[in-house]
Amino acid sequence: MGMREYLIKRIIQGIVTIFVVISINFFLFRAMPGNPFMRFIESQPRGKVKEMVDIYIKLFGLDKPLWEQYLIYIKNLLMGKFGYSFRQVGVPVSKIIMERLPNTLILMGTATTLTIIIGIAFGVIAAGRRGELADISTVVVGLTLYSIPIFWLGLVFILVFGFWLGWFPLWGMITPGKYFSNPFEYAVDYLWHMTMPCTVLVLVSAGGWALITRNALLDVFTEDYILTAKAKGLDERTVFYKHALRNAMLPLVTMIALSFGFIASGAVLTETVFSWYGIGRLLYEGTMQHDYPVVQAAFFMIAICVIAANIIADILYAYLDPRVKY
Amino acid sequence: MENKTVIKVENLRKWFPIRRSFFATLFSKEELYVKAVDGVDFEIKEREVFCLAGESGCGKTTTARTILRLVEPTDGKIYFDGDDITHLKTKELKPYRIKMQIIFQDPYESLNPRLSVFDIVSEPLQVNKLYESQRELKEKVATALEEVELIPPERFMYRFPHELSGGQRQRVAIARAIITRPRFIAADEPVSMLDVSIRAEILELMDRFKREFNIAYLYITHDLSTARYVSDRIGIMYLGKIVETGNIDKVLDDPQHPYTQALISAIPVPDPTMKRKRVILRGEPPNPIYPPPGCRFHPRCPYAKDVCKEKEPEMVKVGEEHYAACWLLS
Ligand SMILES: Nc1ncnc2c1ncn2[C@@H]1O[C@H](COP(=O)(O)OP(=O)(O)OP(=O)(O)O)[C@@H](O)[C@H]1O
Ligand SMILES: [Mg+2]
Repeated sequence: MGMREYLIKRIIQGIVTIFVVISINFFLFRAMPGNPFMRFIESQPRGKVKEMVDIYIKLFGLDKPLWEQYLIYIKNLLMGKFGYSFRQVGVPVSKIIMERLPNTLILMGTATTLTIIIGIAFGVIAAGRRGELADISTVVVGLTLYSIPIFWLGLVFILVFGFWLGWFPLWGMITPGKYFSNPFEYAVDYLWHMTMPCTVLVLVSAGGWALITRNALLDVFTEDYILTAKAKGLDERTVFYKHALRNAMLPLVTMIALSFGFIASGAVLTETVFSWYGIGRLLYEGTMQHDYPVVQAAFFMIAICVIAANIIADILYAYLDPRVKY
Repeated sequence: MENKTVIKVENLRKWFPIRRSFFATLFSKEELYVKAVDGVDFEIKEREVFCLAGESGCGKTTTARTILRLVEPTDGKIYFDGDDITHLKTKELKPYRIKMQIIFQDPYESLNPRLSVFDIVSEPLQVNKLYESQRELKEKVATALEEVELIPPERFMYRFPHELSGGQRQRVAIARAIITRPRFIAADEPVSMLDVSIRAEILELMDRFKREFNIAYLYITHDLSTARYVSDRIGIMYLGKIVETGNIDKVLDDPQHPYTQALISAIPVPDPTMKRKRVILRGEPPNPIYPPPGCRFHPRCPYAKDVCKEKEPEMVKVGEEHYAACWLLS
């Protein structure tokens, strides 16, 4: 099979997977306990509660048989319609998500890129100096960071750098009520707010990347073809970069592609702790407030990104590793 | 005319330091080593095959890799064409790398999976700038592939290792080794991973290069019956040391050291009526971190005397071109 057929096969597989995901997505929310409208209506003035709930159920088409709802759902998805929020009456879900998405992409994109670069760099340094101080400290620090819960580290940062030292804002994305005379000032304020959540995300995940990179390299170092390369008269740098690193990077390529697939999903814990208005926090709010159409649409978008990243990872891998049979 | 000595090693040692946990180093300052190679001497001349044989773990592979300076020697001297290469740095070693090569046991591991056959075979020329033009490079690679009987070479050049059989891979490894016209090749069990049916062809190939290019071989094997077929001289290794050495026929037909006798009695004999002295090896070889005092073989030797437990025996001449280190012989 050639690369073309492989590509087509992977895309068809991806479409099937997406279909399965959207079906699960449909039934999952209908299987949730409780009536999503009850809390909303309870907050209204006392009165004809029963009637109001019925009106809402009719409005959202939830009185129709399940199979009919399912068909409508699929049809709407295909047309790119995600419905309306239960909570913010009349506001389309896509608008809510689009408002949040840029914040998540900026935070997670920056954090993921930095994590991967820093993690791999430390892994390479550690593997190149096996057993020396640089290596031992990378392993110890890496393992420690790897095992720290992110929300805890976030709270520590807020306490130390936000509250005690006052270097960074405690929460949010923009200083409230501040007037910005130009977009540059706005960007600076935004980045200043982003520094702490981004640092926390990088710290917690870079450790794992360093350890994985280091192990992948050490595995490759013991291969005979590394000795072969040395016997050919290559200097140590070339052996390291051309023969060892290129082979060790193979498993990492898949991981890199997948991490980028997850940037749209946001970081639920970090965004919640730092009040960062991204997709992660939206998922948290949507779940707490039973705003199912919003959560459903967010899940759908995340699934698409992850599945796409998977396909890209497989194709990259097939391209880079001649051994892959497709 | 006497053939020139290509490789000579004197009292070669390779001790691997043992990595210990942080706690272990707190309680004891003593450094521990795996004494993989512990005082080995031999020399190999042009067109000569010197065989190293012995049980698994006795240090054969480490000896070969140390001679090629792929691992750093702990002690002793390595001479190539009379030049001391024991402590040369990576740069100074480069001209010698062209002249000495290694063939590994497992052709599935010795070829970089991401490089094509052309990349693998041409790299030694590229690194050492041994070509004028792309065309010449390609021609040289094609010639090398033809020499190892990968014919037509164009069919193999742009394949990747995983698309080749074990025998073809080993041929690629040999092509890579001979392309710089080395004077010395260490072949570390080059056929043990291959099908029996192609072993003879590969050995034949190596033998042809020996005659055509005057190569000196270090041939490492477990298999004493093929050793006789390809080698001129042999060294029997036990726990990092050579215990018996000499002309291959003399050593194998008339083994003097009890360990050699034991190894030879382990070879199946085609003729069951043939009688020979049998020595059965008891137990496992001892731990190379703490080799036994005196003669290293004494805990497993059926003839061990008191002196064997205390003093290490010297290598003594036991016949024409035949030496052994055993207290029974001196
Ligand atoms: N890189 C290393 N670090 C530590 N110990 C090693 C290393 N390489 C080899 N050793 C040890 O040195 C000893 C000799 O190993 P070596 O591979 O040279 O034996 P061998 O005679 O080639 O065995 P085999 O017949 O199994 O290939 C063994 O005890 C082995 O565990
Ligand atoms: Mg070996």
